[in-house]
Amino acid sequence: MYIYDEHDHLIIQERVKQFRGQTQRYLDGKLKEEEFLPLRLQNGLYVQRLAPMLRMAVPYGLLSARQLRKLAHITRHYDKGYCHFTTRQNVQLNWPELAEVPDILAELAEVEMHAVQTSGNCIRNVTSDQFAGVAPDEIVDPRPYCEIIRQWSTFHPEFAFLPRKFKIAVSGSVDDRAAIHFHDIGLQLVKNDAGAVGFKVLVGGGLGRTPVIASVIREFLPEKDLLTYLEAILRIYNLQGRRDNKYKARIKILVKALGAEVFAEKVEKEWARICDSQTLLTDKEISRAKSFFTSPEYRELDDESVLANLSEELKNNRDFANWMQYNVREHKVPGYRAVTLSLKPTGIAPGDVTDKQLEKIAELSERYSFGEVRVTHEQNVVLADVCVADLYALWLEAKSANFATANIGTLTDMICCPGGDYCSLANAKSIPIAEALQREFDDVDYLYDLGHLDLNISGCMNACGHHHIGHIGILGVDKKGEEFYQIQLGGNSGNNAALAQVLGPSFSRAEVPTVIKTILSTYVELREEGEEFFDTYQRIGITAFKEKVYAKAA
Amino acid sequence: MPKLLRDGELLSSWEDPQSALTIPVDVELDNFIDELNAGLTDISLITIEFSVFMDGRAFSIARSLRDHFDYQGELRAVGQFIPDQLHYLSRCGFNAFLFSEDVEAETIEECLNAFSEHYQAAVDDPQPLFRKRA
Repeated sequence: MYIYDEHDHLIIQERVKQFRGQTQRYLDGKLKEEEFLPLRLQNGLYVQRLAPMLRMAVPYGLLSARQLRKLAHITRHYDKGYCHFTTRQNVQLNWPELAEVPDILAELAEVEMHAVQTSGNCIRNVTSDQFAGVAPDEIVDPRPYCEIIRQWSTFHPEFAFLPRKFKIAVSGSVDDRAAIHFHDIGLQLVKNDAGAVGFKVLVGGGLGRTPVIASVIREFLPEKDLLTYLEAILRIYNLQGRRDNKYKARIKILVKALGAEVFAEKVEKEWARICDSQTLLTDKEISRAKSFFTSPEYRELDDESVLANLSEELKNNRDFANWMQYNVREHKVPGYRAVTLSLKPTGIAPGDVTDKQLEKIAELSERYSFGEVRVTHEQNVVLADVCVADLYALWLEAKSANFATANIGTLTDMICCPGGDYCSLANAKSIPIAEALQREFDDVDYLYDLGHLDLNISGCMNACGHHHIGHIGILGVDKKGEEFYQIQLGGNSGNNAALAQVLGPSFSRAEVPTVIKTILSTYVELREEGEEFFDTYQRIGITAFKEKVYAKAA
Repeated sequence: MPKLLRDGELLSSWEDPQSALTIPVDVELDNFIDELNAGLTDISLITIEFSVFMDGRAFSIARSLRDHFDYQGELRAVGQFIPDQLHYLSRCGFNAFLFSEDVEAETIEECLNAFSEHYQAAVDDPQPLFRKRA
């Protein structure tokens, strides 16, 4: 994990001081509301339906036990004792006091955390794969590059007033788990024929009102050129992105309007001017960044024999066996596994955790996973380095802390935005939909039979719940002041990136569980051997689903 | 009375250089400079006006003027920018800022010097932090 030196500490402390001054001037009436707005947003502070909301950055999802304990303290002391893991690997407080936010930032700075650029029209917190560094399908560990991007983008003087927000995701594995096709810039780490490390560069993906799959503008960018190339892309966007209409201001609209080839030419031309500048990365800097992400001290183990020791428990305890199947993943080191703690038990808003639970996660991470965790964009928490011999003990403890719901990758492991219960942008509530579906699909045998299924819920078309890229997406809409829900099918966030199609007219909240049930029974009826929901959908298309759903309603 | 912050000094009266130029924020900079007979060599004041402070194009224009066109003269921000943008603007190459009377000198000073350390290279310092780290 990256550790701050005196420079990082100084920069973050100066930010706390700066924001304290800005807040004071605002409270004294010396800074106008509309001027304070972008300044507070660039510190993650929104003014929401019920109270301010503070979004704290978790760079590429990594947290230490010490940071988790600090978050627990902050939620207890400054909020109501719980917080929310977001779909961008960050953490949100729902009830902080505006006047106390500078103090919260000062507390965060003590543990090398901040809320820098978690909102606003600037470069946001960079996101990545939650299994970075441990995934067997990894080509290159993305974390050092994420940290290099974090530092470069933090307080970048030229890109703080972009046409719109700007999100960068980095994937280092064969399977894309960072949704790089749906970011303003997606970076895929690759090795060329000579074995040199570089990036495939994708631009102009995104969700929101106008969902777009990103275009590749460069097949191979040598690693040292990373920052100069990003700078060229951002400069073109800053100068040429639309500013007349906020809904047309993302880079995806510019890339579409120009065409990806023309956009790429402009970038290359700008890049030619700056590629030899001192922003060109050095071997020294790349190795410095890598030095923070070395392997922990793994024991030398024989995978088969440690696994054999679990055979009794696996045979006798079905819950444990299910958890092993759904929440435990392969690891690149024999004798180790990556474990996902599910934050999706029935009846809890997806991604919500209490102060006590944060402390429990910290404790589990120290006992079982070298004191570190990763936040996932599916709103769960990963212990990435668990020894197979510890899995049963960990399961027992996770179970008693309500983290062991064996549902990762299944229908009840939903992505869900805070929705109309908290968010002032939302058209409809999303948390009650998630809960109704969890209650409807409480039969685990049926759930497991349905297999891998991404169900994503957004309370409005801003798409924080990623509804466009769920196999099943649910979008809250407002019809004459009433909440309705549109159903979409066939999205995919990974390598087979796809945008979902709208099924048809929307439904009332009460109808949603029945509609989802019909969609799923249609899949079960029509699937062929070994097909997941997404495969069946791709083979048969939307019509069969449409007929069943609307035949019933008629 | 308006005041001018120029090279860190707050002035209540000043003289404008003769050969001045105004650049609009929607400029195509390459074409614009191509069309000037003598390029930027004779120009000693370039003014860029902010019509709304949220429009960040001037930040990139300033960097291009300094880094690509090697402009050495005064680069002045006028209009609707806010003091809280001073630090970034000066990093991008602005060295003069026109303020209305009601902006306090203390606020200007505080905003201009918000940070003493930076991660990335800019006009004020072409060397990023990673090249300076021990």
